[in-house]
Parts: sequence; C-alpha cells; structure tokens
Amino acid sequence: MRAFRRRRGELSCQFEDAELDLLGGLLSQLIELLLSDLPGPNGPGTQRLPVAAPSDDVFAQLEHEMNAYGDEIFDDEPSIDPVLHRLFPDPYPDDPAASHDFHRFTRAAQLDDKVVAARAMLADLRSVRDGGYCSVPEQHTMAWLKTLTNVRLALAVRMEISDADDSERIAELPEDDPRSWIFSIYEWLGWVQESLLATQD
Amino acid sequence: MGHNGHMASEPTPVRPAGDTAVDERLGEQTKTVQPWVTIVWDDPVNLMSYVTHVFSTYFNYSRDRAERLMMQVHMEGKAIVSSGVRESMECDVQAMHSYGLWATLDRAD
Repeated sequence: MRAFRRRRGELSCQFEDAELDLLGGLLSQLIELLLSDLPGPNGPGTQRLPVAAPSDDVFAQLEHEMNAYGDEIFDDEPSIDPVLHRLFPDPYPDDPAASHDFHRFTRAAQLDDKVVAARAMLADLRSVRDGGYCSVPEQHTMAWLKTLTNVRLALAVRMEISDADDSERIAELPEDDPRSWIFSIYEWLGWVQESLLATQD
Repeated sequence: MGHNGHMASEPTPVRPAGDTAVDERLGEQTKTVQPWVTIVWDDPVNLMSYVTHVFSTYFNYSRDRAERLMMQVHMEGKAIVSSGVRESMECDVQAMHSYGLWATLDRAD
C-alpha cells in the first residue's frame, strides 16, 4: 500500500490486489458480525473456539467465532462474545442493570453506526480504479477511521491482546505461529489508519 | 421551619404553601442533581494519534487539550474527558464507543 495523500483536493491511497481482498474480507466479516442477531443453535458460548489453537485461515476463524455469538451482545452472562463486548463495552462497570438499560436504548443506533461506517469504507474499496488507486471522499474519513479501529479491536481480542505486554509478546512470536500473521495484519491496519490520520491535521 | 421537610416529602403540591416551602424545595432539588463524568480508559489497540483526533473532533477540544488528555489516558490508565448531567454523559460514552474507545461513566466525586 502507498500512504494516503491529497492530490488536487482528493484524498487517495494505493492498494495491492491482495490487500483489497484482505480488507474486503475483514470488513464483510465485521458487518456480518454486527448484523447477526439470531441465537446460535447451541446457546451462547457453547461454540467458542479454543483461542490457543487458531487455524491458518483467519477469515474462517473470525467467521466461526463471530457467528457463534450474534445474539448475546447485551447478555449479562460471562459467556458473551469478547469481540462484541469490546465493541460495545458496559458503560456502568459496577451496575449491570444500568448497563443493560443503556445497551437496550442505544443498541440499534450503535450497531447502525458501525455498519454504516463499514459499508462506506467497503464501497470506497469496491470503487478502486486501475492501479489500485482508492479515493476516499472527505465525508468518509471518519467512517474509515472508525472501521479500521473496529477491525483492529476485533483482531486484538482474537489474539488476546489486553495490554502493551501482550502486544510485545505476540510481536516476538515465530513466523510460523498463526497469530504472527494476524498480528502483521493488525499492525498493517494500524499503519493504514496512521497514514489517513496524517492527512487530517 | 420544622414542618418544611415533612412537606417536601409529600406528593408535589398544587401550589406551595408559602415562600419558605418554595425555598426548601429548591434546596432539595439542588442537592439531588449529581454531576457525572465520562472516563476513557487506556487500551493497547487505539493509536495515540487517533485518540487525540477523536477528542479534538468530538469534544471540539484544542489540539493541546486533546493531546494532554490522550497522554493522561496513556500514562495514568484513564482520564476524565467530560462532565455534566447523566444524560449528556451517556451521550458522550455512546459517542466514545462509536469511535472504538473504552469509555464508562460515573458519579463525580
């Protein structure tokens, strides 16, 4: 990828085909997760994969994991999908009832906000011109920033990164560890975001 | 004055019995309004530049103030980013969540 820049008033960057496929896949998974609202056949938590044994296919992993918990976003059960819990944190850590009310009243808008943002970014990715030039309308920049964040948050939960030490530990993993590959995607997404932010000052 | 406390606990009267009673009721109302705060917590995922961008974009804080708050989150683990009535703080928390930041609200100490 070539970093974002402004040219003749237009904000654009340049992606490789493989990067477009990767981003498109991750965004589709994110949207699917956000839209999934049906209970799993075996109830919440029963389909959770052991995090210590990830497969090589991050999409299949994410799909499986994300699809497993669609319904339980606002459940107070400890079995709640950690990705969704991170995307929709409890606003009252010591008051489950107040948190539940908050989620009940804001859920639709919060989901909608994230889905609309992801779709805006996806639309820009699908309008990429020859040579991988990706133009981002000014009014889509926040949608890109939010969506890149949401995907990175999901990957971080997937890799069990909960503090800076975890990040360092995973950065040190050998290349044949599947998490090492996910981490490189995670870092690359951060670079894309940083590049876009640099045009916003 | 002794009876005013008793009056205030009754269902809202159609009209106050006198000036003293009105004052007392206002006094009680003021006591029950508690300011709330929005707290943003440190996380290992969000980029420092992004957190600063969110603070300056959403709260309309100056670049300096946004950066100071971001550094406080980063160094101390959390920072109070706004304060006000509970409804406003719920709005702010909802907005922070939409940006992917980890935010909670709490009563101001």
